[in-house]
Amino acid sequence: MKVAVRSVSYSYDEEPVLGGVSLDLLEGGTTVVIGPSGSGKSTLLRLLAGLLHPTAGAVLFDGRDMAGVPTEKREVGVVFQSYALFPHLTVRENIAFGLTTSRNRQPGHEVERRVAEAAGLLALEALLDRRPGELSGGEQQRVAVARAIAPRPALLLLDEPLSALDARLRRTVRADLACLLAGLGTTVLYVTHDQEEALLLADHLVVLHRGQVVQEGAPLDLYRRPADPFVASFLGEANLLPVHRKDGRPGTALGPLDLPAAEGQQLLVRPEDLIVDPGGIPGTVSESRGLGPYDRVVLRLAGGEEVLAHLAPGAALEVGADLRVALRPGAGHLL
Amino acid sequence: MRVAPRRVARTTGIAWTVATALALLAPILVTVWGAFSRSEFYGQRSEGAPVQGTADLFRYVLGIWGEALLHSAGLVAAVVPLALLLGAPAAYAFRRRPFPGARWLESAALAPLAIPGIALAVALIETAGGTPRFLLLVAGHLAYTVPLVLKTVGNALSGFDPGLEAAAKSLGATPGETVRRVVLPLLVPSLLLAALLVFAVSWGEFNVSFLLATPLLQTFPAALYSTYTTNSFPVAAAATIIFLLPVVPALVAIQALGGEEFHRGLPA
Repeated sequence: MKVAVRSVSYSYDEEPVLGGVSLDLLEGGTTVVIGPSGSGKSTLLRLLAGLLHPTAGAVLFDGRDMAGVPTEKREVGVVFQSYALFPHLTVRENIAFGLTTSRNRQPGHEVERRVAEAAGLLALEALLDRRPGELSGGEQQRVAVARAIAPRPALLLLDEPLSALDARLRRTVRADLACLLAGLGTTVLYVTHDQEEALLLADHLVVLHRGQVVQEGAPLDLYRRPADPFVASFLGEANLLPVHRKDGRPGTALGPLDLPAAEGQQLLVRPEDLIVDPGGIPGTVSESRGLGPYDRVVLRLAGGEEVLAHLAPGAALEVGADLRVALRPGAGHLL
Repeated sequence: MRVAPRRVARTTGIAWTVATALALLAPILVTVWGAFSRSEFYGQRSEGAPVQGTADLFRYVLGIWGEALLHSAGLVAAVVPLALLLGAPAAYAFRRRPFPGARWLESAALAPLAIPGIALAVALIETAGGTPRFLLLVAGHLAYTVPLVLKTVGNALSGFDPGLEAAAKSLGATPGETVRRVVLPLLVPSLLLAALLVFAVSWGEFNVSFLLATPLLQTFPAALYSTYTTNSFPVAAAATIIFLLPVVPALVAIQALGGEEFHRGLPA
């Protein structure tokens, strides 16, 4: 389904939450909306679900203005942050719920078939007769997804569906979810504040900040070439080095730049863009921590600036050690 | 010898609880004893009343107060469903569709609990004196029982995630289906509890019932009062036991529902 948001504003108690957001969801793909808490991302999701109504602007499903169409008449499935599983119903009854309401009532054998199908996709076959209260957090999360996809909604909305899980579980569930969403071929809106989740799941990434879309595009593009310092630091760790002119050439604390840069601009250097180089800029290690896949090193450069570097593991750098680093060729992005 | 302070605290706690329970139960135990024992302690008998501990005594009480018993039963049969029908939707509106001033109004709705029965009875007669007495009685009882429903059902509503209703809608349930398939099933324990509380309060209500009673329309608690003032202790005791018969199972059920049962099915 083609889903479009046109100049949508929403205020709560006179407080603007969304200020004129326009957005097209990727048809048949996953659009991830990422933003800090209070950015209005969950509000945007609830507006698409019809659980809230825009104070201005329009939400269009296949070109049709959805104003006045209640949630139960929209072909949406929602995975809530709290899961909102019906505690008095079994897993089976929870999944079957959306196949037995007036919007989409299915004959008995079809209900059974679709429940089995959704349960299979989320590995819930063994849990069908349990109640939500008897399930672990990860299992509840899978039931919530199964319940939302069983009626085959034209638009699937996921509101921070992994935020209630612990970090380890989140990693595995995230990967499973990515496979599942890719296989469904449904138009998906996924709301999160977690950048790893966003980069992994998004076909199209939208950054929301204070009720405005600040940038949208392909996820790696946004990571590599963010539009402003907010996007740069929200999507990952970022060194932002001020540009200054020296001997008529632009440069930063990491040395002269080959890019046409002006004073007042900043150079974005991701920590993984710094490499150890005997011919590089000298600095002193002020923090060092081996994290397994890489060493997280904070370096104080000669000019006093501190930069964060993710260096190849095993260097076992001590605080106070001297180290020369350079920018990986081709890396760096001007803001 | 040193005694662990925790053990002292525990023993004191248990002793306190048992003492409180006994103090509350003592009058009932004495009443039961009075109705069944053939002790000469309660020597005086009113004219024509049978001897203690016999079925005749209970038949005698039913004979004189059977009609009052029926009136009370009829009153309870009207008050319990009406209190639920008025209170439960109001509780839902207060908690789920809050409007400006809803909190104040909800608190104000509890006020009748603090109004003396005589004031309420006089107010009812003053404003609607021409109404059939039975309806006035129902109105008086509702004033005392609807607040209980508001509170019980309101608390249950606060205890479950409003996201459940949003989830039902997102799965295509109309408002009617949402209430029928999600809200009501989750409220069953609280509705049962409310019904039992309303029953217990309405069945035992004395003030309003006594003041609104007419010679032809008396409730059982009002009748009990005349029994206490005019009959012997054994007759009064027998009448009290008849009065308590339906209350005890209701209280036991309230206890059961107020415990674990009440929370089962609600999200952890």
